[in-house]
Amino acid sequence: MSLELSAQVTDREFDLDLSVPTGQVVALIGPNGAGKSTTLSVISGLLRPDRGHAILDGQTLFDLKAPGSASVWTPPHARGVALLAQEPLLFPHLSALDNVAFGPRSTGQSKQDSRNSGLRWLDEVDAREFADRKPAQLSGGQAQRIAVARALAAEPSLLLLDEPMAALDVAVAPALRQMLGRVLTGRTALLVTHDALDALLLADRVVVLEDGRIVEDGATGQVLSRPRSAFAARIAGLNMIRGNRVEGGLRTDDGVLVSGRVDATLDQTSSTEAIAVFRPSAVSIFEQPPGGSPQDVFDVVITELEPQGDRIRVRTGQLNADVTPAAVAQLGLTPGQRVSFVVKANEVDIYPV
Amino acid sequence: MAASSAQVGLPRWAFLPAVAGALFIMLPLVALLVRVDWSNFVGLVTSDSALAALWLSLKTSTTSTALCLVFGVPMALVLARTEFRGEQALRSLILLPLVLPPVVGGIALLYTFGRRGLLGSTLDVLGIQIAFSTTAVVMAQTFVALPFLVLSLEGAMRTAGHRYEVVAATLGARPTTVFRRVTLPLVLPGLVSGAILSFARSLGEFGATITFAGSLQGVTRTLPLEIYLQRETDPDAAVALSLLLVLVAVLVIGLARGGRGLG
Repeated sequence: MSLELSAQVTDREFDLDLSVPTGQVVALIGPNGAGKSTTLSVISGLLRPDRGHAILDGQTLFDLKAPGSASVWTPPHARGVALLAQEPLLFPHLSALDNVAFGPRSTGQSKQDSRNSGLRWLDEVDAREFADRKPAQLSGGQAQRIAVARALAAEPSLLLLDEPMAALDVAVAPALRQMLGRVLTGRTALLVTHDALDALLLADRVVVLEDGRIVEDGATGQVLSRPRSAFAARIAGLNMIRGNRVEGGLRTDDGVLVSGRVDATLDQTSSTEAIAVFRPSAVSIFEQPPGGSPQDVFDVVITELEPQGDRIRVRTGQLNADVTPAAVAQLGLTPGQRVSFVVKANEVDIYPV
Repeated sequence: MAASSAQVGLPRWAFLPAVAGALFIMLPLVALLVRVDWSNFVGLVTSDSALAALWLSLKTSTTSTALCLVFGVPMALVLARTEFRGEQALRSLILLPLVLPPVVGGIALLYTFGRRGLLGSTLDVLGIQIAFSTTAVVMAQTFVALPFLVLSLEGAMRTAGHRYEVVAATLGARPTTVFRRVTLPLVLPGLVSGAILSFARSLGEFGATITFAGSLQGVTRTLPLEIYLQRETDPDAAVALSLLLVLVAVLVIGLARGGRGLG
């Protein structure tokens, strides 16, 4: 019992095969326009793909074959798929309780029963005190809590979450994230996010989409510590370099040698390519690279400087370095300047593609 | 509000035509009030023929407003929520009675449902005669009033958007449930003002009614027709009844404002 999805949407160049076992929370990440929202729309029935099929817990959501042959299409309301969007979208004319009771009531429960399950789900998200309020009387965080309760009260087989924290105040997001962590445990869910923390705390697995296709798929810890796609590396906050395997490391297409801690599995694979990652904070910046301990040196041109916590993020085309404001002042760093990024070899992880 | 909102100055010349226009609309109402024979007012508006006309007007306008709701709500729903070829052209045609001279509408109805009309012979065989009956009055009123409801409601539906409907569907609500519990409550102000406008338009209907339904006391002679007839024989009665219609119109505008503007 699980979700099996295979769908193509020609005019969006979308072609996805995804299967999610029951009880797994999958984070969908990827650049804008990669197909994350399309995936949710296809599963929830708001977008009809050109071809493909989807089965959820034994029920066929759609089965669209070549034109002319018989196809199956289950309308959105009969799919058992609930959707939680960025904005709570609580029905403005109903109280919080009636919003939560909407799903049960719509699927045939009596007024009393649906109110009871509404109250139970309000308890689950610690929002019972707001039961009688209208959405206009709720803060953004409170409303999103109630939207979560409303989605869960419909008892969906699959929960779709489309950046549920994106529209919230930074101050209230942690509490909602914690609550989501609690209610998502053991549920089957797809979570679209831009945030590594969401993926780490909420998801068992991360799927990276680019240009309508899956480019990376793995356990959350694996994807975030050893990314294989540029986007996953960016989300994880890591510098990533690809190259050809050489003894002790890899060599990029530009001929730069990168040495580091080589993963044991690299020797067991037949791949001739390898990936190196390191944290921006492990980078030191020099005008002339010093000698000494084993180190990797990258000649770069600075493109941007921007604040990053108590550090300054120095961006170049491909790599980032986080250094202290003092270091920036001392070297007089400005965009357009040519410098060397230096990383100790034991700060660099190298593993197979 | 008046004190807090800073304003860019208005051109001085705008005030004169603005005041003149307002006077142009209000002065005739004042003239009507001045002309009313107040000592006989109650007697004039409660004569047999006046009461019959008022009762017929209220009865037919209520019925045609109900018909506007029955047909107009689904029409607005289809126009606002679906896309199909020729939708724009269809919308223009549906709104045609808004700009058509009512008497032309009456002629068109006559040649559709009258004895020699498009459907007349078919209806004749079935023993149904519509023209020059109370049914014809209701049909004439519905014909001219329906676009008001469709226009006002479709606008409300487009403004409300369909995002709440999407959420409702993913929570398991069937399309009818979504319509009843989400769409309708969200557009209720638009629906109310649309219905009030339709009622007002029905109440004032004259041209299509007299053409298609004629002027039989108690059967097809609504208040506007009664006023038009009395004007010849008893101007005092015509003025009194006119004032009655003005009062009803003022009441309707008040209700429509209460139900959030005129759409």
